[in-house]
Amino acid sequence: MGLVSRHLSDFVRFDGETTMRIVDQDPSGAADRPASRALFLTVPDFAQLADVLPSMVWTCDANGRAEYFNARWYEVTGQTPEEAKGWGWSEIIHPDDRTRVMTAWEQAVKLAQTFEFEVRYRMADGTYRWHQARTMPMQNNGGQIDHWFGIGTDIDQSHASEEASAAMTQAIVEAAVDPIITIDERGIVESCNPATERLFGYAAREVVGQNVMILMPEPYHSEHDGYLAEYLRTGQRKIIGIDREVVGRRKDGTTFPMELAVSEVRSRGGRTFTGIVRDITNRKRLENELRGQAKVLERVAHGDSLPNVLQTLVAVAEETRPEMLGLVLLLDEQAGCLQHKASIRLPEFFCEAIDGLVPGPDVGCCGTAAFTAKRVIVEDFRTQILNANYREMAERAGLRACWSEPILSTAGGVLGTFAMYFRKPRTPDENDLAFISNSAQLASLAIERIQADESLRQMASIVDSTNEAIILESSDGIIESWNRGAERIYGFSAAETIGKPIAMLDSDVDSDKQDVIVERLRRTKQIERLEAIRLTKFGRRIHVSLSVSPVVDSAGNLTHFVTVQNDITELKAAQSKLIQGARLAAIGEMLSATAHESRNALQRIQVSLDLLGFDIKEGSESRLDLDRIARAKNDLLKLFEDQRSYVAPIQLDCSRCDLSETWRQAWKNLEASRGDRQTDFAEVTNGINLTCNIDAFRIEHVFRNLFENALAACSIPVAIEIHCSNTDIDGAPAVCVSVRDNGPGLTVEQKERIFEAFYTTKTKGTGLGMAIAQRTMEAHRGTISVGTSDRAGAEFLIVLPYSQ
Amino acid sequence: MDAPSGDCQPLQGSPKDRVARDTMRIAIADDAEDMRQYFRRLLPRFGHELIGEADNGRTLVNLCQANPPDLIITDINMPEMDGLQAAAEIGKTLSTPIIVISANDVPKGKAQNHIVEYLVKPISANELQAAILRAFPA
Repeated sequence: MGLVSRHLSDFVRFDGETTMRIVDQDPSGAADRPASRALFLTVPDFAQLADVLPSMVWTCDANGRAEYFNARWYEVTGQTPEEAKGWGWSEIIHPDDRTRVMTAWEQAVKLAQTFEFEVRYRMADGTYRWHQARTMPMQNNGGQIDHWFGIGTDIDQSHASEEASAAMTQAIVEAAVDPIITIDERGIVESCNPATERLFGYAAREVVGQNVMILMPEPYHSEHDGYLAEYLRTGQRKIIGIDREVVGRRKDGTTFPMELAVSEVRSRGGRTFTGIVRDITNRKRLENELRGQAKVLERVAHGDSLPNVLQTLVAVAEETRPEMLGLVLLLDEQAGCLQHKASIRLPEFFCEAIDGLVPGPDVGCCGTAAFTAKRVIVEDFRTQILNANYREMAERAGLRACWSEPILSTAGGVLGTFAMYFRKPRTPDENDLAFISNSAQLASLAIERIQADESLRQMASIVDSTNEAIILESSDGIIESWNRGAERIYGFSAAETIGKPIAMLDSDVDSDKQDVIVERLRRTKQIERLEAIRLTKFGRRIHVSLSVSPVVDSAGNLTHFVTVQNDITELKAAQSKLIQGARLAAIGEMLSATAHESRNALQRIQVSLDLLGFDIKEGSESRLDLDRIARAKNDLLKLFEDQRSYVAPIQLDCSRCDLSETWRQAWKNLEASRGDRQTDFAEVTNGINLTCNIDAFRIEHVFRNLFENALAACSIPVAIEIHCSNTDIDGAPAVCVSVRDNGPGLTVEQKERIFEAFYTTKTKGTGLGMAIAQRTMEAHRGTISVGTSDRAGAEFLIVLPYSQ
Repeated sequence: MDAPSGDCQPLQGSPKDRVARDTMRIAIADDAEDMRQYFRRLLPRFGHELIGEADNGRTLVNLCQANPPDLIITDINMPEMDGLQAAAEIGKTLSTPIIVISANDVPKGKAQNHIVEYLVKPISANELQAAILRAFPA
């Protein structure tokens, strides 16, 4: 409606006393431009027209006195024409608006200007309603103003909602948590809300009317006017509509990080900028803390040492909270005390005093926290109950507050403490508590991770240094890891085995059995111990003992096998020797019994031989038969006795004897069997001490055996040479007696097998002589071996320790 | 013949007294008849007199005490009383030298109870004669 009435006023011109014309032209066109199509109205016509309009319409004379009101005016205001005429209409203007409106009206009349205003008129029911009014001067043909034409429209409804909206906006601004500041084009603060006062520490009146730069530190402080001017000149936005992180300055000069959002409002009066500020101190600190934690975690991930990591933890904590002094103590479980691990700014004497602290219920902040496994907050050492010793120490270190958080392991055990000290009394807020708790958790994570790494490293070095083969294979039998022990046992290098199937080590023996075991492992997922025969790189079969452990992932799936293997080939050989030994012992017992009985039987043969010998004539055929029986009896006797002495346990009857006497006796005892053969027996003792603790009878038998063999092997003249020298057995002094003959020497096979039982090169003999000699020497902790010199003839070396 | 007279006379006649004599009066003990027969036929051949035979130690002790010999030859393993026990018993009253013949190994330690020889079976006639002669060295 307002629109229609305003248009009407634009189109209507009075033309003389009685007529007015309505021109159809652009309202912006000049008033004096000739109308293209004019409609002339008489006054009664105008009145009729005005009365049907929904707006209030009036006319005034050149001086501003009202002459005419339409029916709508009277209807709405309840005035009579008499009451309204002249200046009567001003009576219904709201008293608060009257001065403003009348003054402006007088001014408009004086200057002959179109006058627009918003005003509250009193309605017929006594209420006031907002109206928008426009009064414009009308010129006569002579170009002089002779009338004013006015029109008024009820805008109360929209005005009320505008007012409400403004009030609401104001309330929001007032209540906003974030500071909201408006400035004009020059940067002068027009308004600010209570949040601004709270954050910046200024009262609103101290800020309004001042340049906004007082809220900024350098360089923004000096440059702000420049930014603003630049924007107004170029229209180039650097901050408007964009959130920016900047720095704010409080009244007390301290600064803080803030986020700033600026919007621009253009109004008739020019441009206004509204800034909404958000204090991001906490967010920034949290970001810094997270960055710090990331730095610590990075150190852990890079395998840094625990002291370095904990030092970093303290460093980043002190960086984000410059007012605090950090301290990390770790519990040494064995010593039962706390050890200083990391601090940067705490005085050295204080750290030294705390190092070695034994946790207890009243042992300073950290000692108590470690003892109770609970956070201890001492806000002020001076006022809070604390062991006097620690209070004094804290005092000397210039410390007033300490918050100590136990560092707990995942299992809940105390690993140490993370403490924050302050030089002023201090109560932690929520952020502080979260920070100290996070830091302790971070320390725990670092400690456990590093300890896990350390034990992994130790494990790796054990795996690498052990003599056992430790092999990791995937569940489908592919070798993934191969340690040095495995290299030693199998001869294959890691490069030769990794990625290859474990079956490459299988021998043709018992590989079926292994399939069964692997199948069982998959099922039971329990450690299996077994023995197997495997193949080395060089094709040698070895006995290994294996312990196979299945590796199961967190979902319970079998992923790998770890096998720990030992080469037990030698052990197996020793075992079989032992079994052999046990068998021999049994045979020995049997032979002992046999020998006893055989002696009786042989005695009976002997008796018969002797008695027959008395009757049978010397030189007869029968006498020859008798001699053959006698020889057979002797052979049988020798066989029984040799077997017996080979298997029977040797019990030495030792005394200190000269070795040379034993070999001389042995040689002498062979006189009969030597007969008249030409022999040469030479001794080279080199003046060596030949006195040893020996069973002379048995050693004599050893020499006798060697001499008998020499006599059997050599052709005439037989030459036997004895040569003595000093030597040692595993570092203990010993004597070596070499016995050499001038026979054909020993073949390679003989050299290897000469000491085997029942091995003989003679057509006669039991093949036990050298085996018994070896047993005798071993019983004396000595040795007998084949000589290695390349001189002709057979050489044996007898080595005996001087003392046993 | 200088036959000992009287029963149970202690320490009658030392071996040295008989050195000059070729003939020994010998008592033997063995549980095997073969062996006893052997001594019966062998000892006279070497000029000795077998004055008593026993098939166990107890009998040997009795006959030695009844008629002390110049030399005793005994087996060890015998029923009732073995040769060593018999030697000990005899040694209490007589100093008669004793030759032990056994299928057992030579025991360790010094000979006791006048045991002058310990022979391991089988022994030949010549070995036995040598041992007898050793018991009475010239």
